Amino acid sequence: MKSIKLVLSNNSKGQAATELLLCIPVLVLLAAGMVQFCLLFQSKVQFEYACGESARAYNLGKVQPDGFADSIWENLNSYQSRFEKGSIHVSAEASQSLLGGDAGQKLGFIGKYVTGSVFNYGGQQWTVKINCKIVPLFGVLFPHGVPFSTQLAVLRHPQ
Amino acid sequence: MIKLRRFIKENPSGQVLLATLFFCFIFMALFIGLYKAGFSYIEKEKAMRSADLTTLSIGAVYANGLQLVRYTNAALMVAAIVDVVTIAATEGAVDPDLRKVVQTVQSWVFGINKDTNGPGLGVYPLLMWAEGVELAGNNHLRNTWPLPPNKLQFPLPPLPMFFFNPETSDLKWMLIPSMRLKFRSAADLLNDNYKDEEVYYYHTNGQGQTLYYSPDQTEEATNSQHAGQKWVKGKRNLFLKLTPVVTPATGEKKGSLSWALKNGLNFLVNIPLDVVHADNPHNHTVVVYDQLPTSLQKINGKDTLSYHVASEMKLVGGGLAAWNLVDGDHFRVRLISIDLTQFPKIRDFVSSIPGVPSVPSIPKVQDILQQVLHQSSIPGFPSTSGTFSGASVPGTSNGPGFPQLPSLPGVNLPSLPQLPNLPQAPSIPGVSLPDMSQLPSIPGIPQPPGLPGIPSLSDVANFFGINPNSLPQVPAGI
Repeated sequence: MKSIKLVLSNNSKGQAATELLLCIPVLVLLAAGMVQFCLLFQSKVQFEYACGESARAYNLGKVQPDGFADSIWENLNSYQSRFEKGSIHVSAEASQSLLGGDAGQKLGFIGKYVTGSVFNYGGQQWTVKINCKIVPLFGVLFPHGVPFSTQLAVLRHPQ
Repeated sequence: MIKLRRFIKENPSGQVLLATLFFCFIFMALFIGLYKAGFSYIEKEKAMRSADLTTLSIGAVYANGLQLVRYTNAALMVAAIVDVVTIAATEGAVDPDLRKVVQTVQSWVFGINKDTNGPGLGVYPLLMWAEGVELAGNNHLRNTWPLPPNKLQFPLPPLPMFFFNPETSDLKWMLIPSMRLKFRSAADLLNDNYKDEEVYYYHTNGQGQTLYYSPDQTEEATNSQHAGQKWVKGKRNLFLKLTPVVTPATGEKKGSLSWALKNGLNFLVNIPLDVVHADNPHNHTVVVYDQLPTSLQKINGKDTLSYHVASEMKLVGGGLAAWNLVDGDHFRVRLISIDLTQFPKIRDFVSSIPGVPSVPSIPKVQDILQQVLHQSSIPGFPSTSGTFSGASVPGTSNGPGFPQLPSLPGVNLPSLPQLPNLPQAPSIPGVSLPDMSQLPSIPGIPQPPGLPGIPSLSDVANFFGINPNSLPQVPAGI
């Protein structure tokens, strides 16, 4: 340690270059981290958008409950390469509607009839999870991809 | 510090490291900025999505309600047939008047004031509101309601603000759930509006109102930017974007209302028939105005920053007559773009809120709710400010109020036992007390200031358009 100090204090040739060499990886790492965070945020925004569009399609009756995951995948558009299709996990439950949907199921036949014909609206509440695999640096921490999750709910008529 | 400076001065080996540290600092600042911006963008996307989904959900309930109107109109038609058959069979001796029963049910369910044939309180509009609140909670929209003056803490569900049919309703009925329906009168069947004709309407960007003009109220715009653009006569200074709307014939009897009135058929106006849209062309819209809290800034563990979002939907569909059950489609929900600050009624209302200096700055939801709850600037809204006052509560605008006692942690005051009803004093025959309000004032003694009144039941009834005399009487002793 003493000899290094002596060398550094007495000989400044190549010293700056050495220090720069030591610092460059740190700076590159920071810059790369920023870029990767940008990509990550971009993917997350696209994921939220895809979920929202799928819910809107469900509201219009264009998507059935069992096709919700496929609809999300389609709405990811050009960002599909950043995700793993197999990692989409959609857990759906009936939306907590007051009178529509499954609210009348507990009342038996009459309840089913009322909710089916009078309160002919119902909906779904989803929790969607997906893994984003774009980021090699985050890959060290998340080997299966960075998990994204969101929750959303919507009603539609006719049910 | 001096040693460090001397070391850096004398030893060039520290300079690059220092520069690197400086760059790292800049990178970290950039990184934090990037993180905040990215997170903020995600939250914004979620806020918009949540507001849109809540709006679409209310639209679904609203559309179902309009379909129910068709069902009840069909029931009304059946009831009318039964009435006619009964009257004919009994040669006018018996009129079951089933149609009136159905119409009463319609007025209570769908919120139509039978006296004014305008909006009223209804069960189904309240259901729309409740479902909207429920869905807003599922989509994580939250509002911070202003606490009542006594600062009672009680759990409140997330309550968004809904504006119902803001283009065509007045401010009161924007805030109270309504469906923009009315009873069609027999005279309406003779009205020219129900003939196949072209009606112009415009939706100005600056006003946010939809107004309707018939072709004879308009004229060709000279030197217009667009082919076929029209002006409203006498209003050339306004920028009007007129769009022709063809109102299809609904199959009713064609005629002229003026002809009917001239020939002594005024009674037709007072004969209610089925429920129809209050506007022609119909206008059923709902605006959701809410906020989504973000975790960008927390104080005492609570999110203090939130996105204010507004979303509007419009229902697209046909008529509400019974025969539309056969050939009419379900009403469809369409999201439409909205700029809340462009609505004049909301803008004027907002400008009356203290602390909101300028429009078009969007006020916080709390500001509007505070105004609704504690101010009386809404025409027709019963005032709740200064309730229980001259003894006003600190924090309200009336009077100095009582000094606030410090609260003791863990100490709950027991509720006072209810006093039994005191027996009424027997009246003395021939003796009556004078009306105190009619007493003459005594010179030299100032009159007590008028106490701000607690809104009476009749005030509330008037506000909701209900005849106070029709309210059930509260029994004595309560």
